[in-house]
Amino acid sequence: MKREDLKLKGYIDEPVSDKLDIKNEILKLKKEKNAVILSHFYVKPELQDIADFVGDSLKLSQEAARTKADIIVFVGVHFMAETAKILSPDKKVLLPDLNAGCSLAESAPADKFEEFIKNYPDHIVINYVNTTAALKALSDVVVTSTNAKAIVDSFPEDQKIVFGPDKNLGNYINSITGRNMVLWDGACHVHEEFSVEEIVRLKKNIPKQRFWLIRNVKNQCLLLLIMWDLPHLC
Amino acid sequence: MLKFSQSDDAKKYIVATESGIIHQMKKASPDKEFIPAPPKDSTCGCSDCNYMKLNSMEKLYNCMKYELPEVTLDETLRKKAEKPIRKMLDISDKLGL
Repeated sequence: MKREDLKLKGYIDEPVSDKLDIKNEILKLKKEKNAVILSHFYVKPELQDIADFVGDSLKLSQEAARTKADIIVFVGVHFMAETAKILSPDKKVLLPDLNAGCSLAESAPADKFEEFIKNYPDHIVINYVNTTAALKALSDVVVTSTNAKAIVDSFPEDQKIVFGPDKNLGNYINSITGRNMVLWDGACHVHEEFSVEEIVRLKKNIPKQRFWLIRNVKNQCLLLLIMWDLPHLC
Repeated sequence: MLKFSQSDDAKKYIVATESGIIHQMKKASPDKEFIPAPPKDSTCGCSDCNYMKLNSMEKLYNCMKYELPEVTLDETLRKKAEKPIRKMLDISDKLGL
């Protein structure tokens, strides 16, 4: 396969024989090349099972920062591999398919975001880690969903903050901290897809089920979560 | 969410995030049931990040064999982008996250 084709397709499109023990071959290559495989929670089960580390963005970035491997293979999406490269510039960072983007990262183009923050010169800029390197470069600190509240809390209460790109996570942090952070209007399309009506139906049918949501789903879901967190409704 | 699903004592859970995480939840608690929350316009009963699902064993194998595609960055941009990530990692370390 030619390099130009790779650019066009975004991944190596070479046929792999059905007879090949692909799992074994990957493990052999990993050993030969002193590579580490980091897989995100959201990839297919077999890709999680073959990884050296499986985790969320925070855990995987911590592993990328401390690894002694020569090659980091990031089985996730582009911004995560980029984060690994930012933290480990001397290592080769690979991503199996360059088309693996992120709708949230794409909802915040750096040029438009830069214009936006010019309106708030006395604010610090906190961005969710699901962003391009160009957007990170415009940030004072980044956060993941795991540490977002703790990091926002680490700033004085009167600190003015612009938070991006995820308005759902921003709204959630505002609601639990009582802050009034200025929010960029971005979102993840998967988290926007959940149907409140369907979730209510599911919950009603099976009332003993526990219910919880990732912190950056849309507001209506957040309100439901708060309602159901009340002991008499759980 | 994963930690919560391990320490909590219920047997059934509706999980309203990308469905891939359910694999780890099942592995950690094989006796519990995890139901993906339904999205709006689909009858499949799960919500998948299509970008994440572009990864496959075949692409991973080829990627490791040929060491491509590689992710590279302009050094000036990399340095600017590193500061806010290091700050996050420092605060997280201090807080034991």
